[in-house]
Amino acid sequence: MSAVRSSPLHSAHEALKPMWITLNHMPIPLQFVPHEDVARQKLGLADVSFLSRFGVKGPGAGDWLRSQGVTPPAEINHWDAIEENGLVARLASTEFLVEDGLEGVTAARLAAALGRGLPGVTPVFRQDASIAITGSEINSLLVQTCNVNFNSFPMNERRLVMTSMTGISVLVIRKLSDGVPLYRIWCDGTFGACLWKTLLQVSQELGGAAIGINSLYPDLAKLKALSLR
Amino acid sequence: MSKRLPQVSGEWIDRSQPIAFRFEGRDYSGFVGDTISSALMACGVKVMGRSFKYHRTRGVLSMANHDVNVMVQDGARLNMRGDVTPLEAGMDLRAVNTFGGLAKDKARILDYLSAFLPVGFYYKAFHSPKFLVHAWEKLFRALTGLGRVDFNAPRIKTPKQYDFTDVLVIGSGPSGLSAAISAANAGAKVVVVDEQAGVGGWLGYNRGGQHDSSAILQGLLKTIAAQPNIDVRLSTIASGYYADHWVPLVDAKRMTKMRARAVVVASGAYDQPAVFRNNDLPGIMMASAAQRLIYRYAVQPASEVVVLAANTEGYRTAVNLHNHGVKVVALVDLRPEGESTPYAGAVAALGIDILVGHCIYEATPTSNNDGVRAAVICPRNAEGVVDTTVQSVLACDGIFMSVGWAPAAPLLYQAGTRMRYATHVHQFVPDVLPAGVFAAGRVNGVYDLTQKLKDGERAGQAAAAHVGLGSGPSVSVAPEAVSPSHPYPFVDHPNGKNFVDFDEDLQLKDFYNAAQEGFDNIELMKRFTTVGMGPSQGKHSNMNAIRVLAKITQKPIQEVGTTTARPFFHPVPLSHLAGRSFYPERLTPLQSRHESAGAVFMQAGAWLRPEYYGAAGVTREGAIAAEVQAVRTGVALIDVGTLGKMEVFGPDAGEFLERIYVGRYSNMKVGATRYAVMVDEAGVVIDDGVVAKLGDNHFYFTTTTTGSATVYREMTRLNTQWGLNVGIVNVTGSFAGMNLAGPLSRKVLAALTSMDVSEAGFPYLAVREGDVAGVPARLMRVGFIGELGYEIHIPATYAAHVWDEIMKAGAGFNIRPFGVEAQRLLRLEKGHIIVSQDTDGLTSPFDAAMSWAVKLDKPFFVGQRSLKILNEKARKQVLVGFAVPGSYRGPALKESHLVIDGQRIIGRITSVAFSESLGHFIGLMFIEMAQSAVGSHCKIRVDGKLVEATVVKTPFYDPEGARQKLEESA
Amino acid sequence: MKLMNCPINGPRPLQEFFYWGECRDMPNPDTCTDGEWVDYVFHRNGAPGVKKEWWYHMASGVWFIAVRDTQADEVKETYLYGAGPHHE
Repeated sequence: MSAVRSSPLHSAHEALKPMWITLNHMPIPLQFVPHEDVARQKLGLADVSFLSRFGVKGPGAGDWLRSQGVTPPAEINHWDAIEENGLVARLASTEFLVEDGLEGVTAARLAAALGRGLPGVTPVFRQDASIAITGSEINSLLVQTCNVNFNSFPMNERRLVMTSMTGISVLVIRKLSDGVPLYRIWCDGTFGACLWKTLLQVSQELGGAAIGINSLYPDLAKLKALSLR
Repeated sequence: MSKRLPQVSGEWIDRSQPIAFRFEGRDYSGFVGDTISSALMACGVKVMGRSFKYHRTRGVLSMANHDVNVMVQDGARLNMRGDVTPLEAGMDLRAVNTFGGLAKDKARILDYLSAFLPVGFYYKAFHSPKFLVHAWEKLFRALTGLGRVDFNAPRIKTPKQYDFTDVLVIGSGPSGLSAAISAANAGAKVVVVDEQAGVGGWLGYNRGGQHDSSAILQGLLKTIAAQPNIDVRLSTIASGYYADHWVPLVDAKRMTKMRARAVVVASGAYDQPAVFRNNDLPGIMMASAAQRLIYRYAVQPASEVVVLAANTEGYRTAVNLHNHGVKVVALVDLRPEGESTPYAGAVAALGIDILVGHCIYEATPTSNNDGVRAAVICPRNAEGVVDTTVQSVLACDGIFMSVGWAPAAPLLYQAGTRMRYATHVHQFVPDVLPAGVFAAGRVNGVYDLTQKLKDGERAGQAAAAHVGLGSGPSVSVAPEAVSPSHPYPFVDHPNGKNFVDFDEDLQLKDFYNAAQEGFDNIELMKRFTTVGMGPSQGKHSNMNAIRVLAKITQKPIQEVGTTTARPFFHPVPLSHLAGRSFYPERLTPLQSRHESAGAVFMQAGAWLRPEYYGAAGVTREGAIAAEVQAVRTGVALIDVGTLGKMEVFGPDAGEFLERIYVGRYSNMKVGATRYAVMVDEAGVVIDDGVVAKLGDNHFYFTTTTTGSATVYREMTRLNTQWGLNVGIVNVTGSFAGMNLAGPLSRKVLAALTSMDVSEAGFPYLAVREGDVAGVPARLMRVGFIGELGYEIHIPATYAAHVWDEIMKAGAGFNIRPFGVEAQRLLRLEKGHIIVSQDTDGLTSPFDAAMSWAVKLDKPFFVGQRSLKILNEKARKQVLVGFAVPGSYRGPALKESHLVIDGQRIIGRITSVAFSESLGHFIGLMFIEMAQSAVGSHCKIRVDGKLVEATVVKTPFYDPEGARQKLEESA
Repeated sequence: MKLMNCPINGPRPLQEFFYWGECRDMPNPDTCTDGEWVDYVFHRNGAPGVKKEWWYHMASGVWFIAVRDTQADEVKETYLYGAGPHHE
């Protein structure tokens, strides 16, 4: 369908007048200012709400995912990579989140396959706000906003944390992107604008800034090609 | 005259950075590194404050923030403790608590009226005689209070932060540093905090004429510098101990919420004052205060001094004073046996007179009461009996006291430590510590330097072992051979003014008077005398108060006990406590559309909702009326996205709904909706909504806005127990919702969908799925506001698009948005309830006139048994509709206006509004059963007047419900 | 702030949780007396001591049981409903 989607953070971006690009039918800031590299390396926040997602839960959900060619992590509160830079996360005990990378189509495939669900396999319809945070100052932002000690487990452990930041329930993972830590946060879309504004304000005090999607995915030609799909 | 000494090794001041400041209107200067008190002392200022009650002159006492003799204000910065506040350029300081300035304080006359202001005076003044209470109140308000609030002070938010460590060590004295090193050696991550601006605590200023303490300190610091696992944070106060080793660390910038896995309390002890007449004169201070002045700030604390001692520290002090040019006139030792260490010889060798078995009977003030000019010395025996017939008068301008210590144990108390009184050191020490909490050094009753270092090492090893590192303590600590504290450093005097609590101006006789009045228990004594209730919270006075009470009651100190210590250890600025104040705000995806349309917002829980849409020149009432008109006669659109939205899937989905709601859902057809009421186990209405059956094993239903999280939470808890084959999903934030309402709504909808929206194809109370504006949607026809309408639910990310398309399609029909206030009026005209507005904490469905919704014959549902019981009972009250004649022109009726019958309250209004459509006030009210029949008359009290009303049938508007089932017009 | 050990998410500060109340067994609503029913609905055990309680981790939606000594202010253990305590 050609209807336009909106990121939960859309209004917050408008004030900063970014250059926009439409991905997955959702306008997303491509770039806020011409040179975002300093911000990306120090403390950059990007809106990645546009990525495709699929949620499922229930006693049969794990087996069903496997039957669909997606292998969920065995350990609770962990995540694994899937094809095309996507991820599958096991939330608490029997709930799963699948998120596609830029070009993945797994989420749509799974949603179509599950439809209204099966006994023990319940679709969880998601419209998350999602934020990516990069940079050397991430820890300074986290200690002001999150009571979980991310230094208590090793960098390469694909752990997932469900906690609250600035009063909002969030899901947090930490990846390494080109050897640099990158945090991903998901929250209910209706809290997204508040979470984004608060984290951005604290980040700006620490010398950080909002960054566009081009900073995370430098291949501009590919982004443009994807926006035409 | 300058009292600044030449360079003292290890001094904290930076002589290359002078600072200019003002105090009491005069100019002074100090250095970076000075505190306010040290800079003033260096300039020869000795009188720095006026006491709380009697306005007596005061100067430095503890130099450690264990008293508030020196409390000053600089503009908006209130109640700064001069002893420890760093001097800053441009400070313009005034002593608090004076009337007309420090020197000529008009209230100093109170000192002469002290006989009329005995202990418990405030307490008694407010009891009798009653006619004076108001006068006392006015007087006290004028006289009391410290500092003046500046109402223009800006609101500052200082962000808090979290931090984590293995072992938190509180105190950087010898035992603290030693504990940090041994814990780090075992592999622990260690943070050391100290409230002082420099490390070392006591090691920095009690040199005893030797250099061993500085060498030891340097050695410890070198070891720490080489240990990457140790982080030392100065000017950082561990403000309290909270459960599971959670300690707020407060510094000038912020509060850090530190979670440790083990805590070592090495906080030391407070130097205690001796109690003798006029012991509060400027120039009389603790020996540790004098030494802090010398070694940290290079200030000569006095010229000619009497040292009052009862321990080795006093003797070391005499040696230090002599080494920095202070004449020690004599050392008076309270102990008849004197000092047993070589320091006795060291003092004697300097030509200083030592008077063992003597005390200071009184201090003689200067003629204008701005200092001390002599000490009167008398013999005192081991039983504490003073021979006042033998007096020698020693001229001096300073008296330095070293008679004992009290442990700085508040954090230990807060952690739940059980303390015991150890007679070998005459102080309370930890007896039973909670798991993960360790004590070391003076707070643990260890005073000898070598033993302190060992005690710290032991505590550090134990702390590391507690977090699973290292093999535990391997050192043992020898007990003190000689008590560092005197058990009773008090001298009675017939003329009093021998102070125990300097904050509260409490004299020794005040305690005897309190006991005489019956307040002879430590808790009562504290509250009646107010000892320890001043700004220093008993740091210099609580232990002495306990000693006095023990003497008065002839009980051992262990039996007298202590009062509890509560956070915070020192005052914390409100800005630090407030932090950023995160208030999570919840917005629907249509927020920007509402803003553009001029919405005036209101809070609904965490959500923002449009109350109405404003326009230039239109009043609130006018706007709401226009919105209502649009719904009733045209077409309008409201954002209902804040409603809770749930999905249940699975073979037991219908069964599940039947158990949580009072109605029947197992016989629903796919494509139908049904109103749903939820009660709790007591049968009280807690939520309502609409259930839609989308498939055989698939229901989609709504809850109230404020109930969504609660309902989802309780549903999942119930099914955790029931184990039904059902999946429950909270999709509140995933779906947006909007209600397209009004007689023209079908026309607008038809333009955006290919679905069959005829009355036959999509009847009243049906649910349909289809595309609206190219977006997959769930549509329901519900009866809440009583017009033809469609509640459209779509994925949240498409909401703005669909809203825009509907507004475009409706433009030709003058579509407008409408808000919550209009909706509330519309639903009221239909007599529909709002849960928790028209129901309260006791309302059953029967009371709310919803018996029709309750299916008691189901096998089981939550609250069923209670409803069965209630069903058998006579109703006390019931919710009815009422109307007031259209001719009424009085003040507006409001919710909670009471229904009055003679002298009795027989009901109250729950919802009320003036209906433009009907031309009169309508509302819902609770009324007692006997008066609830349709047609009954009743009286409502509005602003003191009784207004006539009549019970009427609901709905008020369109009673047949024809408008919501509107057929297509031709 | 006190820590509560969620069986799924590990130790978290108390502010991440919702406390429902003591686990109470519902009497059979069809056969119990009115008195037994009223006692279940309205009466609560106020005495301090070791209690089994329902707790909810809000960010993850996990319900669990905590065995808590309300006098000593100590959480003895936590487990998922159905998993049962490790000791009585």
